[in-house]
Amino acid sequence: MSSEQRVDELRARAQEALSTLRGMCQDEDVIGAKALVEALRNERDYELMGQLAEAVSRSDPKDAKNRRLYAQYLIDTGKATAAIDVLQPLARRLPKDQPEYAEATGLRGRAYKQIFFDAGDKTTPGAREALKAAIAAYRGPYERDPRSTWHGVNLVALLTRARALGMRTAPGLDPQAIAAQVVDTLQKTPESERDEWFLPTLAEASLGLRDWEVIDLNIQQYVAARDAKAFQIASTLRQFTQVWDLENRDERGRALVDMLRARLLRLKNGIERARSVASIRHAVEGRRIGTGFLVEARDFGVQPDDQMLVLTNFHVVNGHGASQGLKPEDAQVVFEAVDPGRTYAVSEIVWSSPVDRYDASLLQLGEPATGIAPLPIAATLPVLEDTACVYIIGHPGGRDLAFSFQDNELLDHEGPPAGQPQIPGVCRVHYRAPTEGGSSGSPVFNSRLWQVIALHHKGGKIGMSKLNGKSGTYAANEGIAIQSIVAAVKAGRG
Amino acid sequence: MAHVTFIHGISNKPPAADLLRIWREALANAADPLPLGDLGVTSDLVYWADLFYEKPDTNLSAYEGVLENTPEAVDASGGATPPQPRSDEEAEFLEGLRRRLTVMTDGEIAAAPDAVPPSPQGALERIPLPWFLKKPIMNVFLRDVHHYLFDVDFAPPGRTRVPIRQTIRERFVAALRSPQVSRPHIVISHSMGTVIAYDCLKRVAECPGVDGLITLGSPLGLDEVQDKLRPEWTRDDGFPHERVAGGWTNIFDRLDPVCGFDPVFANDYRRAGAAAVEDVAVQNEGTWRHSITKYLRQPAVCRAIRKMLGVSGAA
Repeated sequence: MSSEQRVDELRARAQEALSTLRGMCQDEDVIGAKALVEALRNERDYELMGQLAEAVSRSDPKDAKNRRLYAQYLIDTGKATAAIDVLQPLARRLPKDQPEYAEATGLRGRAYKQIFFDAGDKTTPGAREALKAAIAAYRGPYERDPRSTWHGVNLVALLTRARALGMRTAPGLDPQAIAAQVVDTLQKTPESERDEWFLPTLAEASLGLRDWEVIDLNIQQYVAARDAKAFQIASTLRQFTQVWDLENRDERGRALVDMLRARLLRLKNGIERARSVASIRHAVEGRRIGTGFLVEARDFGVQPDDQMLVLTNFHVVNGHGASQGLKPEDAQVVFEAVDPGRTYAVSEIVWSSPVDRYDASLLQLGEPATGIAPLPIAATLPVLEDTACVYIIGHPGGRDLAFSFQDNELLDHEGPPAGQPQIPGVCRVHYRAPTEGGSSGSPVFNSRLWQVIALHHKGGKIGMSKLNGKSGTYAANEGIAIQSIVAAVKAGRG
Repeated sequence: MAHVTFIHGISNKPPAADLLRIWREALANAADPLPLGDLGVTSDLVYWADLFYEKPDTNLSAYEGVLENTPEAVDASGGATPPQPRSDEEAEFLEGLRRRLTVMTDGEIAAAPDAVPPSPQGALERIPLPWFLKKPIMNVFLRDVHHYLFDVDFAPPGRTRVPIRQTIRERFVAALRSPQVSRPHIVISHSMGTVIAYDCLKRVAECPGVDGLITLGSPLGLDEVQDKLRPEWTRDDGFPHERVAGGWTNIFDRLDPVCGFDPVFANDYRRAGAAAVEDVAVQNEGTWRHSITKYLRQPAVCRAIRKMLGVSGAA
C-alpha cells in the first residue's frame, strides 16, 4: 500500500469513528478513536484530528492525553490562545509527577512560542511576554526532571533567542550549559531506549553547543536516518527556521536548513519511487547481480502497451549471458521495497542492446508485477546548471536497496542543446554519485521531479573520459539517457 | 527546449548567479514544483542592481529567509537616498508616486517610527512593519523608478555615471538576443523589472520578440508610471503586441504596496480596445507581500509559467 493509500485509509477510518462517536458507541470505539487522533496528528491532518479529538472529548472529557492532543490541534491551526485555555486547567488538575503534566505544560510552552513567532515585530511587549511565558513553561518540567530532553531543548532554543533580543529573562540560566546537559543525557540513553525523537532532539540540542562540527554530524545523522517521519522533519525545520533563525544566521545555517528541506522532499518522493526498483538476482544462488526498474511498455512503444517491463543493463541480463550477464532463465527480479519474498522470473527479452551501445535490456516478467507503479520517464535531460544534481536508487555492491543522495552533481551530458554524441544515437550522461557494481541498471532520477533521466551503467572511481570532445578524465559515473533508449527501442535499433 | 529570461526588481541584490539560483529554487520549491532545469528549460537573469549599488549583497540568506526583520528581506537594502527632482515634471512625478505609498509627511514618519497611523492610509501604512523598514522601501522604490523613467545619469560611489534607462535597456535586449535562447521564450519580471520589461517590449525597436510575459508585483498600474510610457502606451493599445506574441499574465497581491492600489491591468493595457491581460490575484503569506520568492512559490505563478512554456506538471 502506498503512503497515500495509507493516509486515505486512515482518513476513512477517522470519518467512520466520527460517525460512530456521534451515535451509540462502546468504550472500545472511544479507545480506537483516541489512537486515530494521534495517527492523524502524525500525518499532519489537523482539521480531521481536531474534529475527532472534539468528539472524543465529549465521550471522555477527562482523558488528559486527548485534551492535550486537542490543544495541539488548536496550536497547529492558528488558535494558540484557545490552546492555552485548554492546557491551563488541564495542568492544574494533573499531579505534577504524572508524565501528562509535563507534556501539557510543555505544550503550553509551545503555544506561547507560537504567539511569539507569529508576532511580526519580535520586540513588542506582547511578543516578549509570550517568549517569557514559553521559557517559564518549558523550564518547570525540565528542572523537575532533567531527563526531559524535549523541554530542555526548547528551553535552550528560546533562551538563546531571548538573549539575542537582549532580554534578561531567567538570568540564572545558561543556554549553552543546558544544551551540554541535554546532549549528555541523550548520549547516555541506551540504544534500546532511544525513541523516534532521539536524533532530532540531539541535532537541535547541538545547536546550543555552538560546535559546528558536532552540529553538522548530528544533523547529518538525523537526515540520513531511514525511519525519520515527515512530521518530525517538518517540526525540526520549523524549529530551525522560526526559533533559531538559522537561515538568517549564515551560509552554514542555511545549508543545514536546506538539508532538512531536501530530506522532506526525498521522504515524500524517493520512498514511493523505490518501490519500483528491483534487484536482479541469480535465480539459483540468490545473489544480487544488479538493479532494474519497472517501466510502462507504452513509454517505449512496445505492444501490448499497457504491460509493465523491467529495464536493466545488457551486462546484467542478456540473451546469451554475454558480458558477464545472466541469461533470462538464470535471472529473477525482486521488488524488495514491496515484498522481498516475492520473486519474478524473466520470460522474455523484449529488446536489448550491447554494452558498447545502449547497454540495456528490456525484460518481460513471467507474471505481471501487480500493485507497483512504473517509473515516470523524463521528457528531457536536465539543463547543465551549476546546481543540477541527480539521485540514484539501486543495490550498490549487491547490498540492500539504497538511495544515493549526496554529492550527486550532474557533470555533463550529450543531449541538447550543446551535446555531441560520440556513439551515433547514444546519448551519455555523466554524474558524480557513490555507486558500486550492483548499481548497474539503476534508474538515475532528476532531482526535483523524480523522473528517470538515465539508465546507470558504469561507475568510475578511476578516470572517466570527459564528454563532448573535452580533454582529460575525471571521477564520474555514466548512464545512458533514457530518451535515447526510448528512441532506439521505437526504431528497433540495437 | 524553452527559455526563461528573468528580470529583478528594486533594491540591492545578491550577485547575479546567486540571485538566479534563488529564483530557480523558489520555483522548484513551490507547492506545485516547477524545477526549470529538470524540465530542460534554460534560464537567465537580467541583472541591473550593480548600476545602483557599489557591491552586491552577500547575505544571501536574507533573500530566502522567512523573517522580515532586515532591509534585505523586505526589498529595502542598499541605503538609497530620496531622489532629487531636476524639473517640475519630475517633482510632480515623485510627489504623485510618493502619495501612492504613504499619506504621511517625512516629519510624521520620523515622529512615529513604529506606529501604524489611523486611516486614511497609503499602501505602506497598511503593512505592519516598523517605519525603519518602510522608509527605505519607499526611498528605493522612488529612486529606482524615477532614475529609470527619467533616464538619470547615475553611478554608485567610485564609478562612472551611466544613463540608467539606456544601460538597462541594452542589457535587456542583449539577454533576449542571447544564443542560449530557445523557443518558447518568456520573460518573468518582478517589481521595477516589470516596468523595464514592458518598456523594452513596447517601446524599444531593436528588442527581439518573446512568446509570453509574466509580471509579478508590478507598479505598471500606477497612472504616474503609465504617463511616462507615452506615447507608445495608450489605454486602448497598451498591450505590447509588437514584441509579445503570446499572452501577458499579471499576478499581484492586493497587500503588495508596490502595486499600490492599482494592481489590475486588463483595463489599462488593452489590445485594440479589448482586454488582453490576464490578471490573477494571489495571497502571499507574512507581512512583506512584495517578496519575489513568495510570488514564485505561488501555484498560480507556476501554472501561468507552465502554460506559456508548454511544459506539463510534476510526475
